[in-house]
Amino acid sequence: MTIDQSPMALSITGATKHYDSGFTLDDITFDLPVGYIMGLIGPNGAGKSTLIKLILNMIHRDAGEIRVLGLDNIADEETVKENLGVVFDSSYFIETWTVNKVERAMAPMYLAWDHAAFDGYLTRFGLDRKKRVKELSRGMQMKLMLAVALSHDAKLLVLDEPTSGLDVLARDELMDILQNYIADGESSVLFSTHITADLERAADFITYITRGKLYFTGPKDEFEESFRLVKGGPDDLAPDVKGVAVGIHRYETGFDALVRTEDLDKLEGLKAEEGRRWAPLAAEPASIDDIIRLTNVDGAVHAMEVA
Amino acid sequence: MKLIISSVSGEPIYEQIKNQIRASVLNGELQAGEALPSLRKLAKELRISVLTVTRAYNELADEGVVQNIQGKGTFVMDKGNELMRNQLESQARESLAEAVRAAKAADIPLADLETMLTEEYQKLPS
Amino acid sequence: MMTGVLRAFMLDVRRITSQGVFSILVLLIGFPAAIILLGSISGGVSYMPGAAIGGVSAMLALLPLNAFTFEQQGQNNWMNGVIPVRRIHQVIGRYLVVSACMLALALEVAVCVGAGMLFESGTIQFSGLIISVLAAVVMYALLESVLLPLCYRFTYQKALLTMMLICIGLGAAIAAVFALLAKLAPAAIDALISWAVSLTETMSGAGMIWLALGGVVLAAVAAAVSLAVSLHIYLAKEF
Repeated sequence: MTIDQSPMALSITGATKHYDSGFTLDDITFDLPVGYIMGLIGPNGAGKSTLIKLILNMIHRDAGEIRVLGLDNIADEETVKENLGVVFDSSYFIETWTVNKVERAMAPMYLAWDHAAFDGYLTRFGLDRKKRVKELSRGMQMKLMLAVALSHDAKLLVLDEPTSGLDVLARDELMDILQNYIADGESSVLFSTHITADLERAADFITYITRGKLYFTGPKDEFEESFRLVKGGPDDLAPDVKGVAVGIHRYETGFDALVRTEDLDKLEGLKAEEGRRWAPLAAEPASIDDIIRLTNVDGAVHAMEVA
Repeated sequence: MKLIISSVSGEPIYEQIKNQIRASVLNGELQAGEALPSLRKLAKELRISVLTVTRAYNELADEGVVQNIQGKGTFVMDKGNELMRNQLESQARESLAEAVRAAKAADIPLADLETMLTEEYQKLPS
Repeated sequence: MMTGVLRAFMLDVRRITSQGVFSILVLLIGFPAAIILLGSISGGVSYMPGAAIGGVSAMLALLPLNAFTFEQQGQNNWMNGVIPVRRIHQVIGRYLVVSACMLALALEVAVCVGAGMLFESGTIQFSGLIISVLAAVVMYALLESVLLPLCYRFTYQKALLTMMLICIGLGAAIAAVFALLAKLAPAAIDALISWAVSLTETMSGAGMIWLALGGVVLAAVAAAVSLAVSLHIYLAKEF
């Protein structure tokens, strides 16, 4: 399978947004091929929502280009948005609307509105048409947005922190729905979250943004495999570890250091030597959380790497 | 076919898939010519990334265990395939080495071990 | 283009009727119904059409602004970034909603004034009726032309407050001019008043038509400027 040749659901080139507050989303470039789930990760304030708002043309782009299904997101705004399903972390419907009114308001917005599909999702999610938006729990509000997003034949779902404030069951169900959604091979998902457990399994690609800059974009496996977590006691933090570590977290009884996999060979402490049975350091796979955590500790190396 | 994915084993998921499919092929649970579940179906059912399954299938294809046929799916290779034979052979060799280790530990002479091997070989229908 | 504007129009209608259409209909039917009811009971309702027009105008002036209040409630403005409607069409759609309200106002005024005339004198004076309707529509258009850009720029409450301040400021300015004139040249005021009185007294049919035409042109220009300003503000807006 050649990913490079497949069509792109989303293609962002050099997207830049400067805020007067001083925050800058700086020169973000990545591609999401059709048929896959991409997790957009990074700590709060990294620029995830800014990027999503740029895709939706909700804020002004200072530089760069954004293409959705090959179309320019501003020049072809209508077609792009017909094909976009959007879920935010909180409901964008008027609170006094009933679920029924939400459909009556949203259905005329889309050429391809599918009443039967919407009805099916309401049943599946246990959403009552007579309930008002404000009477719904946070999880239910998210599901209502999701039902709308999935009921007009959208080819790309964009979800901005949809799982914040959801319990495990609801998050699990969401991931199930997303995997079903992309199963046809023609639909794609961009999913921003800081709850990386959601992504550990189902995400195909990861785009990691921190401090407004792109840190990594590429297959998730590659992301996880490109780092190792090196652990040791408080006295084992040798200069060679400090030298190659991307980020180090020290605590009373030891330390965690994030090290690029290719740098592991350089660490003497990982090798068992004559006269000692155990190597003082241990290296283990790093989770997405470990990577985010340790690339954001004070003094972390702000290297940019684009796969 | 049985596939069990553990997220705490530390072994990458694509490795787990590879190992289990390879084992199923080697032990005959998956027959030559049999189709593996489609990429997206398996990803959906195991609730893992499509790319992870793709990687496992691609690496199995590189090993010669399975074959990707464009537009049709992924199929188990015929056992006569050279690569598959080599694998089976090395597996047999590994098991024999283990038997030898056990025999040596119990001070069983080579002649006795050969007899045992012949007996075992004849027990199974060819 | 048409689809986009139509979608924006429909969504805004949904927004302004978020509290239900019932109360709006009751008010729209209520004012003329009250005139007809009272008129048929007592006959004379000379003061009624004025009151009714005031009530209807106030209601219809605020009604389209509900789109702003609901949009500013919670994250509803994000919906504007989700729907497949360009911003320019969103603004035009909203001006269409205001135009629809203006049409409703014209109808209401026509019915109220017409009914009033019927009960007063038994006949409908069409020129008077048309002048009343035009006056209401022109005033309405001018008011909304100022209010809409304010609502795009500020929050709904701030916009209304600004509008009130503008009115108070205008009133104060006019009062100040008159006070100044009264002090400096008392004769000028008398001359101004007598000129205004003579103007209305001597106005012929043709004069009235020109005045009406002038009003319509003024309203149209105001609406066009207003739309341009609103677009300028809304296109630059960030959600």
